[in-house]
Amino acid sequence: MTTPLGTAAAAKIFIALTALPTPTVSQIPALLEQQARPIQKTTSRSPIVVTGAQLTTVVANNDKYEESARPTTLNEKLIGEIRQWSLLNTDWDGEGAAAPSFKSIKEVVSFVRLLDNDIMLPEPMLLSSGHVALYWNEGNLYADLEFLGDGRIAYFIKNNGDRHKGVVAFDSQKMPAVFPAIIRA
Amino acid sequence: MPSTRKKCRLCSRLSSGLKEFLHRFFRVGVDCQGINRRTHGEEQRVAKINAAAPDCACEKYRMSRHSPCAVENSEILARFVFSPIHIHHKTGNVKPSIFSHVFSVGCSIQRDSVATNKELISFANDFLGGDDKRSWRGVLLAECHELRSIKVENSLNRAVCVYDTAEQENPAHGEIGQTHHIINEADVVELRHALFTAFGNGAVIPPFQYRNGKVWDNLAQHFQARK
Repeated sequence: MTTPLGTAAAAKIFIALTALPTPTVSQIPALLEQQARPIQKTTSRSPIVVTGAQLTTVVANNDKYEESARPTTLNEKLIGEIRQWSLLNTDWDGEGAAAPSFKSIKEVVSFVRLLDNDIMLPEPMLLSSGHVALYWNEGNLYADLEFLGDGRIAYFIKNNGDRHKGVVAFDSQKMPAVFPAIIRA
Repeated sequence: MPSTRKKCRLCSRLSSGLKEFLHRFFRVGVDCQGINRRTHGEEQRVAKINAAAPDCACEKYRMSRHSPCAVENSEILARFVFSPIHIHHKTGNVKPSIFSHVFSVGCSIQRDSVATNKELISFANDFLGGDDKRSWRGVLLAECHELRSIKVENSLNRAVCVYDTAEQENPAHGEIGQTHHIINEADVVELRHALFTAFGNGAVIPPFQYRNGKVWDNLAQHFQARK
């Protein structure tokens, strides 16, 4: 036997249903990323947004929502661009260039991670040898650092009329002392 | 027939070998056209040219029978930019990486002073037709004598040679290659900077401005539409 619901009871059920957390649909990589990212508490009900440059996930928690949101940093964008080059094949420029060197890419990525915030971000260059280089050309600074893929960096730097060039060892753990002093704008 | 062809090939090899021997030991003539042919398409072309004809010896001779003449100091040379990977994101200028072929296979240039519009249109159409990802971003110009006067720090020797490596379908084709005096990796990076400076610090001339747009206007429409 069924009993008809009163208006008040129906309204309560409706409110209870709408108060349930919005089911979240997120991709596994996004969840993995979330663990490493800071979490901000917010009462916003914004839906999951995954765009090219920003990743946001929403998790229900007693009618409040925790949102982890951190835009991709410029360093990360730079690393992403460099890593994409590993997909290129021999003759990527139509003029007989060598395929990008994985070792050189690895070294340059390590180097970018070690860059201080007070050093302006460089422009990456893919050379026909397959090596990757980093390049600055701003104001009085010109710098070109070629990652040779064997634990060495060849460089030429011109800063305010001073010229520096050489080859320096790079172990991917520590920034060679020569660069921050010269490259800092 | 096959035996005759074999004989001719053998004769040709003997002949170029003899010329190379005479040059190497007696400095008699330089078989520049032979050197150009033999090293064509090789990964270490520049090093092989330097070994066979050091100190830019082949600049004095035509390196190809399709070339009108050796490259003169007064000529203007054009480096066509087809690969977006060499464009600086922020400034839109070309990066020094565009010259990195100088150290291996030779950096292709067009001899602006001798090329006709028709030849350049044909060259651009041919190159763009090779891959959908290529687009013509513009041209960098430099004076030949400026390139030939480049030296790296602490060296009295020239750093690059400029040759006329014409092709049948591209008679204005030339090449820049490093000399054997560029030895260490730091010199390579410095030379990249010197070339970048000589070619106007990467300030690219847009296709529609180059030669008053006469090459651009005659480019196939689907190539113009590429970005």
